[in-house]
Amino acid sequence: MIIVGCGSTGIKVAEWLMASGAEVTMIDNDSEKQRFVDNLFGSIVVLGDGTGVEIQEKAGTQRADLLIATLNSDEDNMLACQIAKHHFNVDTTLALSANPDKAHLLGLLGIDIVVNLADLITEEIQSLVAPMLVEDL
Amino acid sequence: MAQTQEDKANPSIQRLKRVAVIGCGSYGSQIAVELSLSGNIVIVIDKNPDSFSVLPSNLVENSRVVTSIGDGTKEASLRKAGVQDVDLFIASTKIPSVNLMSGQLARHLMRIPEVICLVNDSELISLYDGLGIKVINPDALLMNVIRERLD
Repeated sequence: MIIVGCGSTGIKVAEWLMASGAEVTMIDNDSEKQRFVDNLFGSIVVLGDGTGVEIQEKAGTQRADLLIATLNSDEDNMLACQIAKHHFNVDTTLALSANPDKAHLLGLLGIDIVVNLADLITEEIQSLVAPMLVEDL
Repeated sequence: MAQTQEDKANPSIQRLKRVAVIGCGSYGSQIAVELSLSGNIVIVIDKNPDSFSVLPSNLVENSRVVTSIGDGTKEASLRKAGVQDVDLFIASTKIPSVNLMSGQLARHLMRIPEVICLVNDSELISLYDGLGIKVINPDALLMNVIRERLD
């Protein structure tokens, strides 16, 4: 499995996936983050731009079943997922999206799973306090 | 008159719920908009006035989303924004410790009935549940989605 982006969410996901027995490679273009994560998990980070074919190939994307894009930009996550999907035939691609309108677009563009965390949080809030919120007017 | 009687018969449906959201970043702003669109009155508090620019102007103009500049960890800021009257308080800044301090201030000093904090650490859920605070871990929600798809 490939995770693009060594932010806090990317690192958490990597930790969980490795704990469940998956082989994980991460991609980040920040050498400090690379050092930090390599210290945590052993050498698993490929240094470079995850939205490029060359770096994805170096990370072994052609052998991956899943690519998760956790960069800060929706556009970068789209590109990383589309390269994985259409160039390396990765079975499942997941993109984080910070913007609800773009999340919809990413879905239309063939990204398998688009996750807008704020959406999930709102659903969770509504289920936690369901009886007290106004549902429909 | 008929209206008044209905109010008494079904008070929970008649009154809009009031919600306070601390932090107008990527999470807070979207939570505020969605809760507002589903019929709640939302107060958003952020230290940085520029952060409010992401909120849809029609919601702000109709006062469906009310903005207030202030520090969510200070009682004076919260009172200035009218937080003492809300039914639900959501602390959604990027910093877990800030959310937990702000949340406890709201729950224990201002007696807000429901308080939710965003914290990226599931270990803290039971600890703060004991203190009357509900914790949501955004990373865990993402992990649930991944797990569902992989199974």
